Amino acid sequence: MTQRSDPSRLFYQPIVAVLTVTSLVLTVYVVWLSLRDLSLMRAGRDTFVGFDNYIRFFQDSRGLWALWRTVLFTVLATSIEVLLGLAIVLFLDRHFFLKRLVRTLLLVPIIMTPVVVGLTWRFIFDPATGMANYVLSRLGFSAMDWLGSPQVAFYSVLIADIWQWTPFVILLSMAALDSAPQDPMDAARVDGAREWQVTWYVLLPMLRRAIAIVALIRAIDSIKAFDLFYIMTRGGPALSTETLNYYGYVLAFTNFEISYSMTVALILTVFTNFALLAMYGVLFPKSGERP
Amino acid sequence: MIRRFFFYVALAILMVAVLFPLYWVVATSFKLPRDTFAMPPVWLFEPTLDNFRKVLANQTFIRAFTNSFLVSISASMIAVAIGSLAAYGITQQDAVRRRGQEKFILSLRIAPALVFVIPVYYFAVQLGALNKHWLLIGAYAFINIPFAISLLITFFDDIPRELRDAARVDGAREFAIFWRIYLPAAKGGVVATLILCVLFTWNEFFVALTLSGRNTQTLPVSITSFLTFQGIEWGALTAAATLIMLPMLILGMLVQGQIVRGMTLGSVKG
Amino acid sequence: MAQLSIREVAKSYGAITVLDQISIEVEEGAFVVLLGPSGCGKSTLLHAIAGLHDIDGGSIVIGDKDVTDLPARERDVAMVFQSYALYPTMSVRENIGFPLKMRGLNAEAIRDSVDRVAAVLKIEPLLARRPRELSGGQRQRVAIGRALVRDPKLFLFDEPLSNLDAALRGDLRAEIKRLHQRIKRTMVYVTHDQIEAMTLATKIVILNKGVVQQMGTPYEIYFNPANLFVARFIGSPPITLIEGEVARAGTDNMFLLKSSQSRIALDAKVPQSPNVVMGIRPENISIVPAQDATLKATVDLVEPTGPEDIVTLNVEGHSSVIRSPAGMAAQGSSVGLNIDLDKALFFDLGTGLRLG
Repeated sequence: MTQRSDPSRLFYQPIVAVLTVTSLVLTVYVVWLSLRDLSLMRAGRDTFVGFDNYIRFFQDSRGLWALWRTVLFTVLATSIEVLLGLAIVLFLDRHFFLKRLVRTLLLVPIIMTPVVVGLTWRFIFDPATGMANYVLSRLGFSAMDWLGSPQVAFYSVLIADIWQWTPFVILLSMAALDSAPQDPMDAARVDGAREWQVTWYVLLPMLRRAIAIVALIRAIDSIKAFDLFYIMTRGGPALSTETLNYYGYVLAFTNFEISYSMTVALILTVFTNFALLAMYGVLFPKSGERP
Repeated sequence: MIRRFFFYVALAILMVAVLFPLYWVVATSFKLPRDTFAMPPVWLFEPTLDNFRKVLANQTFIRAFTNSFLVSISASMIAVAIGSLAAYGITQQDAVRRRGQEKFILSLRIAPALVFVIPVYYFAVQLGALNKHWLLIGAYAFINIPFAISLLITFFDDIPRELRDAARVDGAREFAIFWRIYLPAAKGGVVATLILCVLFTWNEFFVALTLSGRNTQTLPVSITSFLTFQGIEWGALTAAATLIMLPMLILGMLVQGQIVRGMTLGSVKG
Repeated sequence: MAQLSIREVAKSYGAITVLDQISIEVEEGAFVVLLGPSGCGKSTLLHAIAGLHDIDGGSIVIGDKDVTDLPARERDVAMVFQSYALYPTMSVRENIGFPLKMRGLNAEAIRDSVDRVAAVLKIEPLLARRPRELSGGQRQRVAIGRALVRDPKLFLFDEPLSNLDAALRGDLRAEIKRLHQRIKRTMVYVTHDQIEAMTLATKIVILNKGVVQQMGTPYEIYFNPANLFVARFIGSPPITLIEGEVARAGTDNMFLLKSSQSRIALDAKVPQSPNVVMGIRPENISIVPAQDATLKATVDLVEPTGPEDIVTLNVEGHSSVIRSPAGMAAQGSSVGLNIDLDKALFFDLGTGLRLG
């Protein structure tokens, strides 16, 4: 039914207009800022500098290292969370006592306030009184300076992130498994497939879409990760855990270099878009295939 | 038989790994200082409520709790109210128009919060609004609206099209269809969306860190005040953390059926 | 081609017995249909034969091999599912070739076999497509192709036509029958639809609540039902049932209707019994002028179907549905019925078993 003025459009057009306008205004403002050299240290005396800030970024070793760390963190966090999550899901894919309870409990890491998660792991990683070193000592290894050593700190934050978000992959895959038809797997068994072949040839391909979605979401969230880095290490020690997002924050709120901070933020946004498009292309290869 | 045994052992290890941090936070909040730092760790200890007493007597914490409560619920209700209207409108459109709208909404998720925060911060400083609640509520509502719209679209999609057609034949106007038919039918989804918005806002840190003032600090920010220069007051910290997480754990359990759907914006139905 | 032997197979889910000591022998090349209402256990039995469900007791023998403890992949059976169960992420070619891939055949052998089967089922143009691009009928053909390609000992069909619309059902049903006649393999087919059962089977096994009610050819089942359940389940329109008593009156047996005290003279062959149900198939009831009638009835409903009417009657308190030449019966009128008593069946009211 096509009416000239479909009244249902009025329901969303206002807010979408507001969102569009706001986004545009913000984008324009941020871009404008990035083309100037605004710093709150010299308030009111900012000039137009064109692409200087962008050029500065590509010569800024601290910024480039931050970008590298972002990439590394995103790749490691996403792939480990997805693979580990899948492994656990397959492990749990059977009827067992208390399955519903387990499913509920898997929510806990996701619901826990990220700041609290960071603090908890900070305690666990405490060199003197933390569980991590205690477990190591019981197993016969020497204590590690989890958060104080520039070589290790990055991976400690990674561990905390993996702990918090792998359950998300698990729950999501479980949901996808629930709605997957059982018959094709029975058909495979009758067709001569062993259990691992049933999993490999039939079950995992059916999960492909769900896994792709969760990988996408985790990747985007990993690029923007902030809370854990702030609480556990404040970007240190010696900048070893400073990601690009964190660097942008430092630039704005510690150095007060607003323009440069906005430049970094824009570069991050562009980077995220590219990553998104690339992942989209890889995960949903067929053109026209609706994900 | 043996295989089942190993399965349950592995399962137990998994559950310990998943739940240990929560256990540790809650347990430590009940520990006396000497037990907190005991090495090797103490499993059986004499519980105390001192930490909780200390935290609940702390004005900053109480104020932060009120702030979190106020901001989360207000922002979420605004977001869900506006979001449900928008979601209803979008679900009634034809596929082409819809894809366009949905893509736009999703694209808002990509930029880092920094891009949003700096201009707003600037703007807030001009208006002297840094210490005002409405700034946070407005900011969070703005951030939550796209999320609410995306999620509510999936819930409204579950409602058969025929209901709207039947109502139109019965003479109902658009808003009446929305108010009397879609909303009640999607009640569970609306509540779930509301709770998820509250969850997200309550736990959110970055926006609160940058846009809240002394009087409007929310809980995640206030908890950092326990990280003093002298070292970390773990007892009070864990007590505060427990109190922060408790409402969310309860809410989370209420919507557990919808969490997967919520976090994937409906791409995967949970 | 194999003989299938199901010996005292039992299965329970908790306190509910789904299969109750079922024993069935299937000859080589037979087409056996497991027929019954929902929940009667037919699907469970089929899954047990396939090896997808374990059984709690009894044994299953295919050919000369006891397969009771073997997993599905070692039983050399093929199965066509109600939902087709095609592998959604594979093309039609890959679907049909999958069993051969599991056997370890090389790519060329697989390709040849798939081509051959596709030609038989006339689905060559579909080979590159995905299941979701196919119609229901096409999907079912692909499912059958996947079963055919292996040339197994036993073919199992789990209500394969239930998800298709009526027109398609008839076509595919005929194709399955032709397939059976051509390849002459042993087939076990599950359905709740009696038309499918009657048209396809060489032997029908009727199940109810996990118990075999009767086994026999379609004719035996139809003309010689072993109990009330079978008599009611088979036949469209359904059999007319009238309760009464068989007693002696002088030198003859009489059937006394409980509802109206009418009497019908019977043959001496029918045993006397106080609680009897007389069953008459609709083709043995016809509308006649009152003076020639065995019983009287009123016409409740007339449904024209073209050359015939489906007439619902009230026969002295009992409902009866028969076919009648078009226009013969008028709704609301009283008519006389002639019953061919030679073909009447008698059942014990309490046990449901056939008498005489």
